[in-house]
Amino acid sequence: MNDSVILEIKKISKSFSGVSVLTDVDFDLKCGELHAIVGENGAGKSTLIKILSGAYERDDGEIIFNGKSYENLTPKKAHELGIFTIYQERNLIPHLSVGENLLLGNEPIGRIGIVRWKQTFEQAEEILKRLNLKLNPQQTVSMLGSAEQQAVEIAKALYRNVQIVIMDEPTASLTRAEIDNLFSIIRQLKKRGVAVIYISHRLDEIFAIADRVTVLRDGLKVMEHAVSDINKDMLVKAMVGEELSITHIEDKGMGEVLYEARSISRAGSFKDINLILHRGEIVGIAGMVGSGRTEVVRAMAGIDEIDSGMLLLNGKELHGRPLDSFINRGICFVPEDRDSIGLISCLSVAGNTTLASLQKISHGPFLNLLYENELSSTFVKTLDIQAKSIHQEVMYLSGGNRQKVMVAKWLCRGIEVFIMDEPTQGVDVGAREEIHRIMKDLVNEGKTILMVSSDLDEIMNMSHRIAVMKEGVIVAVLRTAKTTREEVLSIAIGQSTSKD
Amino acid sequence: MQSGNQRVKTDRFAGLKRIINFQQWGIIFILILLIIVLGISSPVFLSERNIRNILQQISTLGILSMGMTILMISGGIDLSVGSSISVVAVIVGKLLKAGTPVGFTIVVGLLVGSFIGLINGLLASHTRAHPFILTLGTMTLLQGVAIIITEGYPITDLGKKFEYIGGAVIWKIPFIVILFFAVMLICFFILKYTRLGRKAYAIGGNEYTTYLAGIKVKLFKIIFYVIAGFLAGFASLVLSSRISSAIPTMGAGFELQSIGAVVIGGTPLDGGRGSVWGTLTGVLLLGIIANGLNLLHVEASWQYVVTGFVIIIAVIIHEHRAR
Repeated sequence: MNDSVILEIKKISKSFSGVSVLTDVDFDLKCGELHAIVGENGAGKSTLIKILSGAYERDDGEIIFNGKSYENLTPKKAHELGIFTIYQERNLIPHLSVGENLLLGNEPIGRIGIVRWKQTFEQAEEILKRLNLKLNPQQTVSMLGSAEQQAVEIAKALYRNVQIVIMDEPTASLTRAEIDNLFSIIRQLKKRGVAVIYISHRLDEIFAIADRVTVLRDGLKVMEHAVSDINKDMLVKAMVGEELSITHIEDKGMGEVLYEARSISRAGSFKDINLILHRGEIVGIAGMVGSGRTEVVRAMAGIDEIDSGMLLLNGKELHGRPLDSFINRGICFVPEDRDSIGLISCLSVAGNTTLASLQKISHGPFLNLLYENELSSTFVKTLDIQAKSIHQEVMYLSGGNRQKVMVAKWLCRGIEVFIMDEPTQGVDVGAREEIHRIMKDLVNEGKTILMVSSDLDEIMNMSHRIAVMKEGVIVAVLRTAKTTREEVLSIAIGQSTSKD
Repeated sequence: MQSGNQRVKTDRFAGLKRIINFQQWGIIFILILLIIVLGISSPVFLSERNIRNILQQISTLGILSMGMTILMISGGIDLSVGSSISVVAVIVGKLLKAGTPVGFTIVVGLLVGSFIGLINGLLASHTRAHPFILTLGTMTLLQGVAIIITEGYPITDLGKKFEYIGGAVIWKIPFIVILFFAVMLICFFILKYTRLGRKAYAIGGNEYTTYLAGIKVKLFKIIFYVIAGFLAGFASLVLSSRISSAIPTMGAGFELQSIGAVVIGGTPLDGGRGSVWGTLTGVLLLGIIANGLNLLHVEASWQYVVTGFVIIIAVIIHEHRAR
């Protein structure tokens, strides 16, 4: 292995609309080395690799590649330098063959501009051989499994003279055997002097394959070590940081059971989920991205069907579709994606507020617009939604206010069970506090909230109980008052359940 | 919290603002300019008779476009309305020629239009294909049906009673113009003051969000197609009674004019916005251009060129405003 540094990053900073995501992060990479980056959701891992792959522009700092400093890295420039990113979603052209994908844009061309197919597939075969891949270059990519497509992407990078491969959660959708396969491909790459940046929340993998590991927390680099010098406990401690003093949400003791999931499963998403929601309670679901959190809450909100198990409201079973039977009985879903799912952006604040309650504001088929105005004004006031008027289209509102309009829609309907996916994502600090206040008011009125959040602080501060999910299963249900941030995180990344 | 009262208030003039949709000022300006220019260059243009003539000419397109407005606000589109006009007309013509009572024939005509709308609605809501292509299919199919029914020949002289609809004048206003304005007011009322209308805006604005709010999106999409089909049938009756004949290709081209009028009127192709007043300006614009060029003895071929040009300009103005 050659020890020369191929990439050096000095004091990289990045912020989005005033919120800093990365602050003065240093990072370096040697030829033939695998350098892992770990951190909680939102620690800044994705932002860092997006800067390296040219997708984002940095605010500050220096990127030195092969001893040369680069001012502006674009995706094209990064490719020219030999920096390739393998994302979680595949990046191949599905209806072309493996060979065509591998050589796309570089096909051997004859004298009059005609592609020489025989040569193309021969070259493709050669590349596949270099990685010990047993794939037919004539096979159509869409016929391949996800793991094989990933391998083709890596081979494609190799053909294009790759220097650095960046892998973002490459094992997220792979089986045990496929992971082993991937690791052997990675070892081949390293042998050829290719450097790898590897992002994963599966700590076992880090210890299996990484040479070095860097820990990010809240956009800061908090640790960098050779993997041989550390153990998992040290990693988890570094990821969590100091235990903050948590201001727990007031626990008034549990009310009666309001909504219950009994052993629900959905193929490919989650398995055997049991969850009880009491009146006056906020239950938080913690877990890494891809652990099945959103899928569970969507099913509990009646949006996706369950394959087996039961959903019980006040002890009575709810039957699948249609969706409005869930809404009629007081269960709503407040999605993470405000704009494409949560709201109708060209409709007014009033129109969005009453969207689910049109019955309430009409006599027969006719709308009572005065009553609609009155009703939506009430919600605008109680939730303190800042808009020019209730007739303003919601697309002109800030993220926090749009979030409140989504809540107003369901308050107007008289909902009991609020299922909220990332209730404060992308809103500013002030709006976040207000949304938290609204959530507390809701449960004080005897309603119940099931919340998914990637933000562990939000989970710790805002939930009475925490369900921790991992790989489609609830691995623990904890009372917030009796647990710590560190415990929740280490369960979520699988530390406590793995055998050392 | 304290300032919340002042910050958010119901806008008392919101209704007025929406009636005179600000986006439409550009089109209204063009309309006024056109009227002035035509008024100067043709002495006949502003005569009572010509104004009555224009209104009579736009009534068919107007009735058709009101249905198209509701449909397009909900995010749908129907290219088959022109062929529907032809099919309904030839069926009505055949029935009248066979001596069927006028009242019964009218009901059948409206039902046929609605039924075609129902088929389009079922296709649009229960398949993944784009309604543009689906209704292109039904458009072609129905054109064929219309020709098959009459073996290609026009049916003329539909009878005094039926002609009366198209020819009657009440207080100097042609009856069909009154029908057009009645349809327009009803559509305005539906869009603004009924749950159905609100759902059109909601589905056009964001179908999935509307579904998540517990609204039966598929059902309402079908209803909007049925409304468009019903009004196509209505327009067909008006047109065939006015000219007292049923020609198997008489509706051809109406679908594009109608979509053009709706788009000039400020309803975007992907829905969520729009109003009948906007569509009225679109219909008036197309009608006045056609009439004015006629008066100025401009050839029909050039009328197409001018109309196409105006549609392009109008759409560019809207796109510009939307930014």
